[in-house]
Amino acid sequence: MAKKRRILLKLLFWILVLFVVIQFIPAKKPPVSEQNPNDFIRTAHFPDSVAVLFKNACYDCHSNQTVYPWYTYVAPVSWLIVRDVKDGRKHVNFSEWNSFKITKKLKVLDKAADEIKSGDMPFWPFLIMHPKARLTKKERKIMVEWLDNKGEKMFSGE
Amino acid sequence: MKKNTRNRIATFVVVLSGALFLWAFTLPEGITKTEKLTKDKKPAFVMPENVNKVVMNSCYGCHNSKSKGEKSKKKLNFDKLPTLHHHKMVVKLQDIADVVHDGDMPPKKFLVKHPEKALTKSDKTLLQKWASETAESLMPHHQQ
Repeated sequence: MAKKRRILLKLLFWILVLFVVIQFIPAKKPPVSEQNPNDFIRTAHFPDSVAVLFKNACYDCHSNQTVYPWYTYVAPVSWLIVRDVKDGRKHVNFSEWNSFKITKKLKVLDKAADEIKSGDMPFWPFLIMHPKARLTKKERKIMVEWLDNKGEKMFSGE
Repeated sequence: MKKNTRNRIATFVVVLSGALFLWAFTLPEGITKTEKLTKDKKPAFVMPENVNKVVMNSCYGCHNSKSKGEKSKKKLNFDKLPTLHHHKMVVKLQDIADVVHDGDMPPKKFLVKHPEKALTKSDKTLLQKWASETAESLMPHHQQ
């Protein structure tokens, strides 16, 4: 028993050392900008009640308005967040919405609806610390209906 | 240290590393919408021979009705593409253009075993241009 305990303590000690050491490996966070004239919420004429859902559930990764809480400065969480924000912005950056051509807008609306409907998005690790991003069934439905509606209007040229 | 505290710390560390491990190896999933059929008889688009050749070599192997890959089939099925509603067709074509532009397809893992399926630079330009222009031409208010 005593031997087991010593091994466990040693292990914990080395995990702690490793944890401290990795804090010195820098993680370059994608920059934040609050001035986004082409922003989705700003230019797509959202009702406020819908806009807030997108803001809470999507904008930390899919816009330039990422909010970085304290734990995003702690490795290895910081590395994963840097990766996910980079990926998120690469897939779609809602801050650049109005600069997309119409076919691209249609694709984004369609994909966003699919991701929200299937529950693949928001990405589950994000939900651990973001209770507001835990969308209810009803909220998902509101978002999907709004996206589909927007897409149909855009396609038919309304 | 008390046994209880020790166990709790150990559990905490294990659970935390487990969660981080899972997170590190997850990637967001793709599209899963059901498709609608249109009753248009005239084909919505024609795939030129040179584009068809590129698609057959690099894409069709996974993105066809008989494909074993459920995920790749669901995301894009070239057999069904001409039967989709024009709105959905635009979405798929734009997605092809984007995926090719980003160099995300064919998957890198797949290319390790099948390097001959890789898209060359001119393949990419051709496919991207075709997909993007066809998508635009399918918009109802498109000016010729």
